Amino acid sequence: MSIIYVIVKVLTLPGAILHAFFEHMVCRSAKIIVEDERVVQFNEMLSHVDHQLIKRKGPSFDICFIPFFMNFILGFLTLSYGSTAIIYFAKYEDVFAWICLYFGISLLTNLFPQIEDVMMLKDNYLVNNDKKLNKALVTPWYGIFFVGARLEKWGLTLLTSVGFAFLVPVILGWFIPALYNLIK
Amino acid sequence: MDENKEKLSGSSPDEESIKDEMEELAKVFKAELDKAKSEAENFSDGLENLEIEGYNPQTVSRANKMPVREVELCEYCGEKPRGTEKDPDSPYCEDCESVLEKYPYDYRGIIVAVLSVCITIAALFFFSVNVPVFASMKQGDKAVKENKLYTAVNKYINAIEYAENISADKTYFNIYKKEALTYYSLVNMNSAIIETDENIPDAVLRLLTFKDLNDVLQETERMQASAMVIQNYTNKYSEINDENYDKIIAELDNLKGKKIYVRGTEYHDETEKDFTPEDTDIEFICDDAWINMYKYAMAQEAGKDEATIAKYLQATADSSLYMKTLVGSLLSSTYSKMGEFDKAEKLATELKEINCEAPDWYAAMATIYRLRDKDYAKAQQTCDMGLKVLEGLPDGESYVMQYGYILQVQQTLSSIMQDDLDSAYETAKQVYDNLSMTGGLTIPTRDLYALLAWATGDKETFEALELEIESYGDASIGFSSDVTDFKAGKVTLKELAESGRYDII
Repeated sequence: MSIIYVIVKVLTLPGAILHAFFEHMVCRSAKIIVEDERVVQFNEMLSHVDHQLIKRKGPSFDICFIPFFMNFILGFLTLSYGSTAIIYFAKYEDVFAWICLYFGISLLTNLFPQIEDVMMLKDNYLVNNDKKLNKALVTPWYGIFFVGARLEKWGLTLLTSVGFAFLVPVILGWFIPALYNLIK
Repeated sequence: MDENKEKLSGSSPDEESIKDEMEELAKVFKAELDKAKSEAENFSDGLENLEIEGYNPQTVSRANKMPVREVELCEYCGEKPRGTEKDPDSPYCEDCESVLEKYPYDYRGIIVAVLSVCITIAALFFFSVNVPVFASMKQGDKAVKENKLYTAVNKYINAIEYAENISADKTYFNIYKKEALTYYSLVNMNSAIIETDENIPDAVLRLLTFKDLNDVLQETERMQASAMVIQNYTNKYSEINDENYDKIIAELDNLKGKKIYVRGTEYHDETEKDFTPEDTDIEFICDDAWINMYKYAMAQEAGKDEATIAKYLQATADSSLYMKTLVGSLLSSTYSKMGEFDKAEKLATELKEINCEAPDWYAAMATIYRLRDKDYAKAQQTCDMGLKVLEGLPDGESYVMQYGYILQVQQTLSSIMQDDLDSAYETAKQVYDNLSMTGGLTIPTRDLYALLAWATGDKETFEALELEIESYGDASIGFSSDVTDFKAGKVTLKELAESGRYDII
């Protein structure tokens, strides 16, 4: 267990807890056995739930994708205000904007599944003989999850999420002004 | 490994003791196995007493009927046999698996989930409120990238209006910063300073993210201090002529690289004899660009030739982008008068890259077409294009009023060359009216208007201008000799138009 991993997870506790919560939701909906539901434990399971190995294809993808997707969407939407206000407007006196910025970064730091889940995804879709279409669809996600899980192991997702927070006003700038003019 | 094998195959006393120990262990394992078997036979009693969520007596009875395999008890309860109907290899019993599948959520997860949804909704609400500010600011940024600095300033002003409608506290510091920086790029130093002083607190200004603005303000302060110190020297002379010109230039040269000091509203330099740099607020190195700028002004006043003027202007323009923007048009016009049209065109293109909405490039090109190619129609077309750009800006009329006169003067001169005096007079009148309103009226512009009034027979206007000049009571701002010479028939209007004295940049 990397101490940096735990420090980063503790620093971004709301995101870690929410990621574990979404993993648990997937487990319950897919009837995957959860062996330990505690979302706050200061070891490598912080931000994950301890569940049985998943041998079914659908749930093995869901356990990686759904917590990733939910944390990403909530994180992005929260950062839409946090990043814009603090980074773009320099509205340093806005306390709620700081909360949004922290919350968004914490959610984006905890996007990725644990490496065991990524390996199960690989076993279920890529190693076993599967349809080519399925393989083609899952391979990019496997790559993202694999790299993300490795980065997360060393706490590097904190840096990527901070970097992303700086990118959010740029991304919003691609379509918000045009959309605003259209509505206006 | 090989050594161990050799040892086992031998019959030393050590090997004997190992054999004994292994037999002892086998007996212990057998006893434990018997105990486990007897416990497994009684497991149904334990199941009846089990009170866990999801307990189903039917599944228990089904589990009872399943054959019990040796040492394969449920990993969770440790009492019932492993495996379910669905998955015989499961490490859990049927009951425990059904319980574990519905393992309750950690309450902290639920709290954070609810909290995050609330924060996200609130964030979306606040972001949507700020969309007009964001959109205007982004449009301003885009305009800056496209070198459309007038549009950029307009967009930033719009963003400030939206922001101040949301919150009157002026906390959107970055908009003020961007507006001030754009003003600086437009060589509007005063607006940059005012915007910063009024809206950005010193604590914010010291932050790393505001370093660019801080640098600009320091540079502005240095330029202002340099200008003030230089004026201490130039103001000593009431008139600049050939006699004192060289002396002033030498004094200005002497200021190069010298320290200047600011004490309240006083400006000093280290060459002053009676000055000691104690209790001074700030010290700078005197700005070379402003020394060259004042040398140009002195050369102009002393009536030096175009080459001397161009030399000082070029040195000024080369020092920074700010100074190039400030004197670029003037230098381009000077090069045109000298017949160095390539230099003039190159400089005009550089100015267009700084701000493509400014009339400088159009005016410079119109001058080139007029003086080099004698293509007056093309010169007028170029001016029309420049005016259209200004008119197309938000609040275009005010831009035409502020900056359009540069182009309108070129149009006037081209019309004179085409013998279209009525059109020339109309445009000159417009220039005169606009500059009178904005306070930017110059003697050549007024004289051009007077010349055309006389040429078109509008003596009433000419006399009104004469009366106006008389009312000032200052002979130095009276009509130039061009007007009297023209009235006396000594020079023609075309000669005056080509003289370059009316190319106001």
